[in-house]
Amino acid sequence: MTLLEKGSRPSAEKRAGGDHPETGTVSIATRTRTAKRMPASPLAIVTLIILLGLVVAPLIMVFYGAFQSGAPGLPKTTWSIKAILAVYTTPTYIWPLIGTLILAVVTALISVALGTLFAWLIARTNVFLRRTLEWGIIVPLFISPFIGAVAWNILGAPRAGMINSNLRWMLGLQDDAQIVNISTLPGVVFVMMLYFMPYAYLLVSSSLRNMDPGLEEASYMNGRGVAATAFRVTLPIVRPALTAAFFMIAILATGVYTIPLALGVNTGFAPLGLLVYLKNTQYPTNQPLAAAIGTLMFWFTLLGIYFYRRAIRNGRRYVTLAGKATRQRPVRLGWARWPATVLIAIYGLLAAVLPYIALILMALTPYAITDLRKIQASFDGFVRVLASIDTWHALLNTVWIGLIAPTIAVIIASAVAYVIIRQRGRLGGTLDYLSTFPVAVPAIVFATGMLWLYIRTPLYATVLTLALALVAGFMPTATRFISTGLMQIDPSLEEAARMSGASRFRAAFTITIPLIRPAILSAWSLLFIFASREVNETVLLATPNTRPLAVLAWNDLDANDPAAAAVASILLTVFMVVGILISRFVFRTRLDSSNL
Amino acid sequence: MTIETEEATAVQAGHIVGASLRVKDLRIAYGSVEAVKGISFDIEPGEFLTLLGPSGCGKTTTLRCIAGLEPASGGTIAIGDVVVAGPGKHVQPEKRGINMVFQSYAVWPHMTVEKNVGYGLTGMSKAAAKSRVDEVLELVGLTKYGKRYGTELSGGQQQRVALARAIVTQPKVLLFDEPLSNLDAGLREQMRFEILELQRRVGITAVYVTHDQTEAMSMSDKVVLLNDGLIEQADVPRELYRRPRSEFAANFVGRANILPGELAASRDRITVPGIATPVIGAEPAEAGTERTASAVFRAENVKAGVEAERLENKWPATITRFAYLGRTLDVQYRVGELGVRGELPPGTPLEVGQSITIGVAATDIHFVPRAED
Repeated sequence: MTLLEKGSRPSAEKRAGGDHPETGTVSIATRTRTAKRMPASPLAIVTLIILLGLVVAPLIMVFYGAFQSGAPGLPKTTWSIKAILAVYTTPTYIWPLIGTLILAVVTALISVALGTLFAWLIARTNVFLRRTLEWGIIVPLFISPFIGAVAWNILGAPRAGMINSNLRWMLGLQDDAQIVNISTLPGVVFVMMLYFMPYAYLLVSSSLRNMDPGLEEASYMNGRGVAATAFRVTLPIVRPALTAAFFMIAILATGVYTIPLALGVNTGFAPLGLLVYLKNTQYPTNQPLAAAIGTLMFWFTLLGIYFYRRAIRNGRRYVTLAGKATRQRPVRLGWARWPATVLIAIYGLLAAVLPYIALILMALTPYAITDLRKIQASFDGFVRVLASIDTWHALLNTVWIGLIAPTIAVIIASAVAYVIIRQRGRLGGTLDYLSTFPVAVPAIVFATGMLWLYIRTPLYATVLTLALALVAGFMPTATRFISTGLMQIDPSLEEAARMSGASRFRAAFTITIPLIRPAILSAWSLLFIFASREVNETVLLATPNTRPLAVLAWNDLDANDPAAAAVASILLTVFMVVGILISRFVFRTRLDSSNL
Repeated sequence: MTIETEEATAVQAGHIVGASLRVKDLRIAYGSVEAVKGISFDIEPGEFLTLLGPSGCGKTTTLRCIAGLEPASGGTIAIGDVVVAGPGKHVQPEKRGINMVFQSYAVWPHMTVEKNVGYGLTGMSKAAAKSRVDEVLELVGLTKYGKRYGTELSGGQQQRVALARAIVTQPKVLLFDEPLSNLDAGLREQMRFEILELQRRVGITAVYVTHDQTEAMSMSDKVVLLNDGLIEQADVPRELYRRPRSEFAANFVGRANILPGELAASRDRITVPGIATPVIGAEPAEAGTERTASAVFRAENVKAGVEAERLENKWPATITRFAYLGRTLDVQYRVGELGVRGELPPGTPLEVGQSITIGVAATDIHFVPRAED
């Protein structure tokens, strides 16, 4: 996601000053060397201030909170190092820290391995039903991991889970037999893998698609078969994408606490993210301690984003410009064709089909009965939830958040992208860094900072706080979409407008923005989905009046009412599907593997 | 590339290691669209054959089909005595014993030059592979760059890496897919000679795809001119230029003047509407040319003034336009209603609107069938 090539200057100079003066490299180097940095424009300064407020302020507040003596907003709260000492100098948090890191690394490894295998199978081989299978991998991206966890709790709980209670009578097993148990750490890894794997798939798959087919064909021409080509040419070339996916998923997994909680994992070990949540919300609360644990997580995710950015930058070295769109001959899998197809289909089944079957069944069962023989379908559950004013309130809040957060995000991201790519001023690098930075900050840590930042302002306990918290988290995605769109537009189109007498302002509004409209709309649509399903940040910031549907489902689950949680989850899904359909048919945007 | 080859013992000048290639009635279809519609040609061991044609004529598709990267939908391809593609048969590309230089060079960015070149050397000891790589790197003049990564090289150097990687496996046939199209003009000319010299020295059979007629004419033993998936003409370069068999061939290989008319019974002259006297050729039209035909002649054979007066074909003309091109003057004449293009020495005094006699020798006139519009 680095938009400025920081390493480009020295390497270009090395090339030009070196021993082969024959081609056009010299002129490239001269151009780079003489390119002047313009002074920061007013737009750049305003954007910087906004980003500082959105991204940096909450982070500072996490550290501020860690040095306080009590809950934010209370009059007797003063400076204190008690929380910091407790986190950094006692052994209490060593094991949660190590456990969290192991959990994150294992999840990331499995997700990347599977995502790469799937990407290769779909991009390069003759598996059956390629299009359908690809949708099977992408659709889980639109399902909230939290909803997935709710569904898997219904499916795989050790005693009353649908899988266990039904396989028992089907296979004639004893009443206490357990075939699956999702309420375990492997269960947490499994569910995280289901919903994080598509990120790895998308990164690797786009890398595979952008690869010059000649690179693999040259390997075949040199007498190497499919396996040697895949491992010695394809895999090394997509390695930057693998590394980027690994760190992205590891950072996500470090911060996730809703999944272990939704799965009802009850082991001695609690991941750090879960501890932050519990210290913030469960009696006896200790917000400074939560903030201090947040700072501990922050250091490790910071390390993660360092490697992530490095991977992305190295990826640039491998970009092959000769993107001649020759249709590549797919690899014939032979006997492995069916197993490969079935493997991907099983993933789609576990990540999307089974969870929704479980949710629908649960929503139709008033008394949380999981034995299929005893289920008496009724709409009572639906009626009960829909009759509640809370539900409609939550739906309205979801609509508001879904409209406000993406809109603010794309407006700021457009300004950021314009400054970075078109103005190339002094602040470009800083803005680039600030806009990608939220990738490194786990949602729960960010929400903790927001809590400390806004508690004494009139914004606290409004839907706007929730939206603003989400905007910061959306900046990396929004900026990436819009910068890519902007990079594809020839700057001379704007220059021609300026030559025809338009001001910079008018050129931007009449030429640039209409041309990047598709990129803006796809960014908006994707963020709309992310905003609607978000739960990691909103849980901490929402009040009964401002909670969206996802948080309502969370509270239902907390209140031991899985049927109501299932109904809320289904409502949320319907809401997102309507949103996707509107974006598809009204805005004419397409969200698929080619642009996600 | 170095000329000193004394050390390169394994590769001897004039020693032919290539195999023959026979393509028979080859058809390649994508769904319902047929890109190649039944073409046949043969290459003898050590020959250099070029597939020439405009973009979309099927030349790259044909090459990729020889490589095994595209399946054939009909016909056969044989390398040496082995049929590699035929009814129900598709030998995998890596099993065909051939190699290819790609248009994008396809130099693997994650490997050094040495690793790139040595990649295809399997089943030999490390030491043997290394000496083979060194030998080939010397042949292409890249000895100093063995430890560099592909992306650190200039376009011309990447081109040589691709070339070295393609000859290192001693392929029976070497395929070139527009290898020079990404280079600038000066380097392109230099690489043309280097590739040709290398091909001669290694004695390899080469199939070369290009849309550039200069490349095709200067490098090939034989040129196969393709148009819309069919062979327009397959000939040695000189014949293709002197005796094009169609208006398309005449126009694609060096722009030609084409005068449509009707062939006389004697078949050595043609009546062109708008020109008083018939256009006379030294040789009669080939058998099979119908009555509606065209006279073809090259711009450099159009003489003017006194020189034109003693030629078999001479016409009164008006100069409509001329341009100074350095070595020649490019002149546009009007003969009756027809336009004729000619070349004159750069010193000739000319004026637009000037009347002048132009002429073409009967030996420079050639008849082709009229193209259907």
